[in-house]
Amino acid sequence: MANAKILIVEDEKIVAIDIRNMLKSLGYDVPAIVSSREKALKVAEEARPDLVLMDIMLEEKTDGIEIAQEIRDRFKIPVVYLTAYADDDTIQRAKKTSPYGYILKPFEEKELSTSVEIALYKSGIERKIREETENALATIIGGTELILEEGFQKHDRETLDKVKLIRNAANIIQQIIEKL
Amino acid sequence: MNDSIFIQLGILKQHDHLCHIYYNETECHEIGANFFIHGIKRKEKCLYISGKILPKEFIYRITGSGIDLNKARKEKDFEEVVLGMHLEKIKDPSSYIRFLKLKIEAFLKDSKKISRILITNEDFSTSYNNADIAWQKASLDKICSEKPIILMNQYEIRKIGSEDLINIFKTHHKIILENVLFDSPFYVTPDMILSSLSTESNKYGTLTNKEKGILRHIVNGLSSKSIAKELSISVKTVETHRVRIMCKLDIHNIVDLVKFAMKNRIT
Repeated sequence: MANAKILIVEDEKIVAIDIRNMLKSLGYDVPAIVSSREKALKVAEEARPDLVLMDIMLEEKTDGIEIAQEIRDRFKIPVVYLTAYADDDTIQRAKKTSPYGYILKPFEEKELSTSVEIALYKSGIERKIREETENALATIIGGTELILEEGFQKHDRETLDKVKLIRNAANIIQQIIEKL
Repeated sequence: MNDSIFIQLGILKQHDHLCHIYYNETECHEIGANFFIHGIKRKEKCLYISGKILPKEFIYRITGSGIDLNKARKEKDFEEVVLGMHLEKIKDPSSYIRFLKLKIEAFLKDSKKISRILITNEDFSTSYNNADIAWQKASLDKICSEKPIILMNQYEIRKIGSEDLINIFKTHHKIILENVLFDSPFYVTPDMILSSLSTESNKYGTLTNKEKGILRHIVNGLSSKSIAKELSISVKTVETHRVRIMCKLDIHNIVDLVKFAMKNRIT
């Protein structure tokens, strides 16, 4: 996925510029380097990057994991963590935000490019599933809900029971897809 | 049947719109026949509209009260409209109402007399959605408010859904239930119902043909990408159309959009 936009959230300027240069030489676009929660969310919203590289320990005790969670929930943008910090507790917390990768500093260009590529590929497939199934799933859920709303006035109990099963199954699929 | 309901059926005035909710056929025939007995005795013209021909029990009750039904028929004071063969043609609510209106107008012609009209529910509305049913009942109520008629609808209680019951109470000023006639506490004027209903179909009317086409594709489960391919336009254009459709219809998620389309038969 060349030309993919990658946002860097990193407070160490030199490291950040180094990462940006590596990404640019790999053919990626870097819309911004930011180090605060506010700026990260602003760029995520406006530039809609395809991926966010997130440092976990940011200045003034800002927590990268929290920002990652927010970016994921609000904009559905995948995150790869970037950190020198790897105690068990941090890893456990990071895991809960379903990151697409975890790169330990210091790292080589090869490690970065592999992680970024895998993350983009994985999120690309997930996005495709989400986008391609959205309308079809809405038709199943909307259609079944409509039948259930019409109720006994139009349908018999047996039909309604079966439709209820279809609706519930469709809801399960929807929840799975939403979690992607 | 108690005396009070019998008397009340005799003192109805024009524009009265009643609904008789019955439990069994006997009750249906009894109230229906008495509705007409009073009408014929008061020299009002009577019209019976049903899916089937006038049941024998009905005829027996009328003739049993000393009325010569054949004479009334000959003098065009009693007529029957059997929907049987027309049912295919009047499957949707608007043609049903158009059809009823024509029949009623033809029956009234230039007559200055008040007419009594009885419509027995033969389940033609089972394939309609709630908005259609509300529209149909309110339209009928509107006809009743504009013509010199007394209109009574008969519905069998077990065929009435809860939404339907609400619509019945909103569109009839008078209800007969368990042989008691009372004023509907929830009556709403037909104009109010019709204007609130028309907003939904009006909204659909604001969509362009292109938007209607895209909505149809969405309901058929096609993704924006597939729709773009199908129509040879960009995915971004499809998305823009979709946002505009939802904006115009004031709907904010795709499930509700699909439900709207299905309700309005855009598939």
